[in-house]
Amino acid sequence: MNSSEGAPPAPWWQVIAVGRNPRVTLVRLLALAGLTVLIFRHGVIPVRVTGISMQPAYRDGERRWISPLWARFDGLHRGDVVAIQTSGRKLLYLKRILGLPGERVRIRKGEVLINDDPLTEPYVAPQRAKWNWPTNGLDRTLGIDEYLVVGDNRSMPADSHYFGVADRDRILGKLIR
Amino acid sequence: MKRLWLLVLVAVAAAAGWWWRESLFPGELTRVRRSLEVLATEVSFTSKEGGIATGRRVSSLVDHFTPEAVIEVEILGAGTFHLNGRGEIQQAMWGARRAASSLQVRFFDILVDLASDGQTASAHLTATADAKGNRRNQEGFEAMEFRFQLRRLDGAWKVQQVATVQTLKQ
Repeated sequence: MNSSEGAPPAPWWQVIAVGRNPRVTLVRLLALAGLTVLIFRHGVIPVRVTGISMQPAYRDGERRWISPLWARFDGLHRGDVVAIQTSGRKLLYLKRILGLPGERVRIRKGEVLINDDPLTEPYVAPQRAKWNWPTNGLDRTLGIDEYLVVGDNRSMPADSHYFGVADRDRILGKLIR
Repeated sequence: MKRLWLLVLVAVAAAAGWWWRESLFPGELTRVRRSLEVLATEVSFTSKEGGIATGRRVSSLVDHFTPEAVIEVEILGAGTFHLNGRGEIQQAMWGARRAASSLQVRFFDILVDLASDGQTASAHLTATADAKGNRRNQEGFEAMEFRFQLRRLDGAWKVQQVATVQTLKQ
């Protein structure tokens, strides 16, 4: 037995605006809004690459996706490209993880050393500047929640390239290739 | 069914009322945020600006700062800047206008903390600067975090201190 049996049919404009059953439409809308917020806050976040610091792998103007969820479940590994948040989420830094928690890291004449071993970096273009980091010439041992993050474009001078150590809570998510 | 429509109507009315209240009678957090957004606009300039307009804007710009304001910032690729008081800030603004033909500064994600006395506030924000100049390091910067300390002076929020926040540790 249908409860609406005998009731006059809803006018066409109402059907177009809110559907045959407005209550169901409202619930669907709320569910959709909640799901959208959940997906775009924790699942995947669309980003547009600006600048040249991640060249040649990621170019200015490219559109990509960041996933906080993937970073949480898969963990952070060397070579992952991550988004680092600033005071909010409107502007993010894209950097590659080179050093993991507990490791001794150093950049000597442009070459990255992890626990004194040189790191092979196929994603970096051959022409790289001869950076030294830390500037005191000593190794930097990363803390329990610290990651060394650097951009792929090493052709520019060190003072024009922003890199360093990011705390885990600054890392928003991993870039989906 | 009528109850549902009433609920929707109440929700819409509440949202409209909140928006109207925030627009006409902004809270202190909104006022701090707006004063910073105005500051970003005042710092920006274009090559089309005339001499009189420039003078007027630089003069009005320093009104956003307290007389004893301190700016100590480290700009990527350009070095550290330490400015003390309105006079030095004004000089720096003139210098920026001489060095670059245009500058567009924008503030994003402004997080404001109001002190319990309601007379001081702290704002954490991310700024971008797009500059056109002839020399190296005059391209501005893509994203840098800053912390602003503000104080209420004569009913308006004025910047007392600006410092760089290091997103990445060295």
